[in-house]
Amino acid sequence: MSSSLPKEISDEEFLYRTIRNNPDWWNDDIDFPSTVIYKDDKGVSVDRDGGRDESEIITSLTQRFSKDLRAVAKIKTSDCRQIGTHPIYKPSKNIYHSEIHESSSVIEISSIKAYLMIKKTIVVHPQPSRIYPEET
Amino acid sequence: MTYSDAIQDKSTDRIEIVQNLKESDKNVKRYFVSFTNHVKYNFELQSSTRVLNSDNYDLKSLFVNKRKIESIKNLKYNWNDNNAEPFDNALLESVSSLINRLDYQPKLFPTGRKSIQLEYHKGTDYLEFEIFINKTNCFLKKGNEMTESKIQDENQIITRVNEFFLT
Repeated sequence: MSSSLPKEISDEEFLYRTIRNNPDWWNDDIDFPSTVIYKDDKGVSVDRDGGRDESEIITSLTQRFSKDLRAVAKIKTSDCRQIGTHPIYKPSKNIYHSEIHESSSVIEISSIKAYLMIKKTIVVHPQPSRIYPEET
Repeated sequence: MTYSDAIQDKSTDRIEIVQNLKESDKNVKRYFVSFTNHVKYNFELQSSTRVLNSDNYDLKSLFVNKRKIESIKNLKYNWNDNNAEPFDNALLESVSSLINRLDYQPKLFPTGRKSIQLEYHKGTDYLEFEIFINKTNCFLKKGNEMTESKIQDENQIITRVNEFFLT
């Protein structure tokens, strides 16, 4: 485990977002999370990969959230930046903790950007992994 | 179960669902029994502007959404582990009232920014309303076009939902 991650999140890193059972943020119509996973007025809380293997990250998240974990989704940092959102590293007790903001000056992500982000999102747990469906 | 089905079969699903309710769901139960009594007596559900389309009216989804709103009422401070506040009752009552008037039931979700989101998918098209206590935003993706707009009143939401499915 690295104790001194670079302050700037690399374009190649993935950002992992947990999806809980309660409240349920899973849209059964499309068998995929709702865009609400990217709507938070205090910043969208994610874990950067920080060079870890995905299996290690998923194990860590499943242990942390135990039975309340519905799924784990990820989005690439470069995709966030291309969409125009602003990933920032904000370590806490969790050294991987990061946030995604609308921009460098605005926290809340707009509906359009949240939609573009969900289309770039990959659900990696539980398996099999899945991407946003093209047709519903 | 559609509204039409409910008229034809007044007992089976309704009784099964009501029997499966927990004690904590009393409010929903009260609503549901009241609502199905309308079906039982074959009343037409009328809004101020139109009659609900009985072919599309999905009683089960309405019931699921009512239960979801009740569960959102119970969310306490920090429900998302990111210091989210509990939801304003006035907002939840307003959403609850709105969905009674919708021909098509949405998927309904709480957000981490004191709003309730209603979602519809049709093929690759997508319609979303994000309802705050003092404003409502609409996002529509149709074909390759994406638009964001402000909603002025409840009737506009109903109109946009119907347009989304009928055009």
